[in-house]
Amino acid sequence: MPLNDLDLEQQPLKSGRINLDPDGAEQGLAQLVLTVIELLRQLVERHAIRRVDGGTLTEEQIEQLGVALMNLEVKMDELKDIFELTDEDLNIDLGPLGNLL
Amino acid sequence: MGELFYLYGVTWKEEAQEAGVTQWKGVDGSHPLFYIELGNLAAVVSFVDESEFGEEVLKEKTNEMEWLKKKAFRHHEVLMQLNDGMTLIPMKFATIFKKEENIQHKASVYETEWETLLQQLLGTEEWNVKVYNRSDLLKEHTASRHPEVMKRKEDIAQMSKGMQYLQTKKLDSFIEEMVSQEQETYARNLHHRFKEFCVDTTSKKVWNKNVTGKDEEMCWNGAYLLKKDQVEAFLEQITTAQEDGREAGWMIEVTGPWPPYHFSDTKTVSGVQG
Repeated sequence: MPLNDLDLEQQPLKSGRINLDPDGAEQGLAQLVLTVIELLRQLVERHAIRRVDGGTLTEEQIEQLGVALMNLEVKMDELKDIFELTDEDLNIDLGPLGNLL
Repeated sequence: MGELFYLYGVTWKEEAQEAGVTQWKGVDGSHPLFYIELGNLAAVVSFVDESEFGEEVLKEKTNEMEWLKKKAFRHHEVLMQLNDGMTLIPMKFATIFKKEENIQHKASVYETEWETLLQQLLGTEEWNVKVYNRSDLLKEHTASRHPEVMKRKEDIAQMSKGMQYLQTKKLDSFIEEMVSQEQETYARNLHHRFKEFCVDTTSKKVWNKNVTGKDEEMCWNGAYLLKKDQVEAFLEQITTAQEDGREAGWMIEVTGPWPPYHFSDTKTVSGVQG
C-alpha cells in the first residue's frame, strides 16, 4: 500500500464546510444563509439566460433582466465582504456529490 | 504461543538467499526478517508478537490511526528495502499467519500464479504519475487562444450593459465547459503517451482537493509498470510534458520506483490467515 494512500486522516481544513462552532454561531449562520442565497441567485441567473436564449423576451426586457442580475451580483459581493466570506466558503462540499455550486 | 508470522512478500529462493534478508528488521522494528523456502520460491517473513498482531488485537489496532500509520509506514519501508534487492510480490499490510504450515499450504495453492507473476515482474519497476491542473490558468490559456471565445468577447464589448452581463455569464460557462473537457482529454492523452513505455498500467483513484490539500485539481492518477531500461525514456517524456504543460496550469508529479503494489494481484487479503 503506497504511503500516500494512508494520509486520508490528514485532511486540511479547507473552505467548503459550514463552520457552526458555539463561539462563532453568528458567523456560521451568515455563511449558511449566504450559501443558500448564492445557490438561488445562480439558479435564477441560469434560468434567466435560458429565457433570453429562448427568444421570447423583448430587447428591453432582456436589458432590464441583465441589469437586475448584475446589481444582484454586486449586492452579493458586498454581503460577502461584510461577513468576510469568499466564493469558496459558499461552495459547500457535498462529499461524493461534489461541490454545491 | 505468542508469535505469529508476518508475510511481506514472495520472491525467488535464490534472490532471497543472495539479498541476505536477515540484515533487516521487520514491521515491529525488532524481529529480524528471514525467509521460508517454498520450492523455487521463498516467503519473506518476520515474527510478530501475538499481543500486537493477533486477530482480535489487530481489529482494534487498525482503528488507531497513529498505530496504523506507524506500522503501515514501516511495512512500506521493509517492502522498499526488499524490492531494491529482489523481484518481489508485495503482500498487503498485515498479512499474518499463525503457523509455517499455513504459509506452505498457501504456497501450494498459489505457486504457479506466483511464479508467473514473478517472471512478469522480472526487471520491472512501478512508477506512479499524478496529473494536476490549475483550472484558472487553463481557463486563461484556453480563453486567450480559442477563436470563438475571442469573437464572442468582441461582440460582447459592443452590447448594452444588461445584455453584456448576461452574455458574459454565458461565455463564462461555455469556457468552463471547455476547460473541464480539456482537463479530461489532456490527461487522457498524457496517459496514452506514458503508456507507450510500459508493460502494464492501471488507473488509481482521483482524489478531491480535501484529500490532496493542493490548490490544483487532480485530473489523473495512474500506476505504470516499466522495464528498467525504459525508465529513463519514460521520465524524460514526463519532464517534456511538465514543461509543455506549465503555461496552461498543468503539473505532473511522478514518484517511484515503488514495489509493484498495483501489479501483484494475488487475491491476498490482509488479516490473520489461520
